Amino acid sequence: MKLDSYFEEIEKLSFQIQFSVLSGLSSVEYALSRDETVRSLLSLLEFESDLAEDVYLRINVLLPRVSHETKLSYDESIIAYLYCLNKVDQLLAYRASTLIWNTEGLLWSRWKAFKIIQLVQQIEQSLDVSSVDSVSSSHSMVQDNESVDTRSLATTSMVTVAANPDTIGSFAVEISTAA
Amino acid sequence: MSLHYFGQQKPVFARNGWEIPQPNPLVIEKFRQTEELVRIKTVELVDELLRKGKTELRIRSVSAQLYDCAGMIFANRRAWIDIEYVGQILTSDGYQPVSKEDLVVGDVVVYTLDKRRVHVGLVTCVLPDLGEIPNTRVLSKWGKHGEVEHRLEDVPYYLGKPSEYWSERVPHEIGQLFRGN
Repeated sequence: MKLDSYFEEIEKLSFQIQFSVLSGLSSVEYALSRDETVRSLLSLLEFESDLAEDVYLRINVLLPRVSHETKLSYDESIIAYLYCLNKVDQLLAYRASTLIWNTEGLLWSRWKAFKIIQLVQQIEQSLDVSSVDSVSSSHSMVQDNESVDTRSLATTSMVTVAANPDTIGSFAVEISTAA
Repeated sequence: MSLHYFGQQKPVFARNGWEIPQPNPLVIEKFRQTEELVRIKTVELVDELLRKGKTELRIRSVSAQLYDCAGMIFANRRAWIDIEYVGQILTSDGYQPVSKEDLVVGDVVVYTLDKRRVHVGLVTCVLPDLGEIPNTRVLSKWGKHGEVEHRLEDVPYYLGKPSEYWSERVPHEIGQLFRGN
């Protein structure tokens, strides 16, 4: 199945409404983890990591289409993409999250974006890395996505850690050792 | 067409004084929906379930207000309460598990998917056991969609299966049916 076919499937109304009945972010993520289309897309992205950029770009395409006035709000489609991105490329997931955060009309995807950004903030605060200047306020969040491209390796690692909280302790140890 | 903005939530407390967590206001403040769109999507969902063989689904209401299944039951439709807190709410409010056979109107049904609590509904009708014919009806709010009255098992796939039954009635014998001669 080609990437476009996954996009088509995930953006159907029938895909979206099966997840919009849920009432918790963890429930939504669990349901996504069970969905055959999402699992296949994730497998594809794990096999061809370059395609993650296309998923990120697809989120960029969908965000301007988000509307509370049409049947297709794309909230569940976007969180499906973000869920997959977060599994295969945490930096792209973080970049996508900053875009999603500034979009009106979303619930699940904004909730997930908040979690990702919040975790990066927590890591930033715990490590006190002064070079990371983007996520200083919960309200403003990051708007300048270009700055993400110039992040240091440390920042990239932070985003990776942010997506995998279990590794926070070990990462902190690595940093202190390196310093 | 009414358009609702969110983010100004009021605290909700359980009977034992525990403040039930609600979504971070920053998360939901930019969420928008209209009643008309909720109606359209709820009808779409119900139609799809009917095509899949579910029967007798009745849309009770649609609302642009942000509340969910747990918010409908435990916060009088005033809050979105993440389903993950339902276990603690039931305990904090003094609910006790009852058997399916002991259900009466007003009791609570918890739905699970792979042993995870994913949904909660309110019993609205219990008819005498009719053998093969399902005899319990439930009212529940389907996420961002409307409130639907349905047979006990007739919910969308990801809302799981009815597997826990709870009541705040004490003693539970109050639910017994008394008949005159």
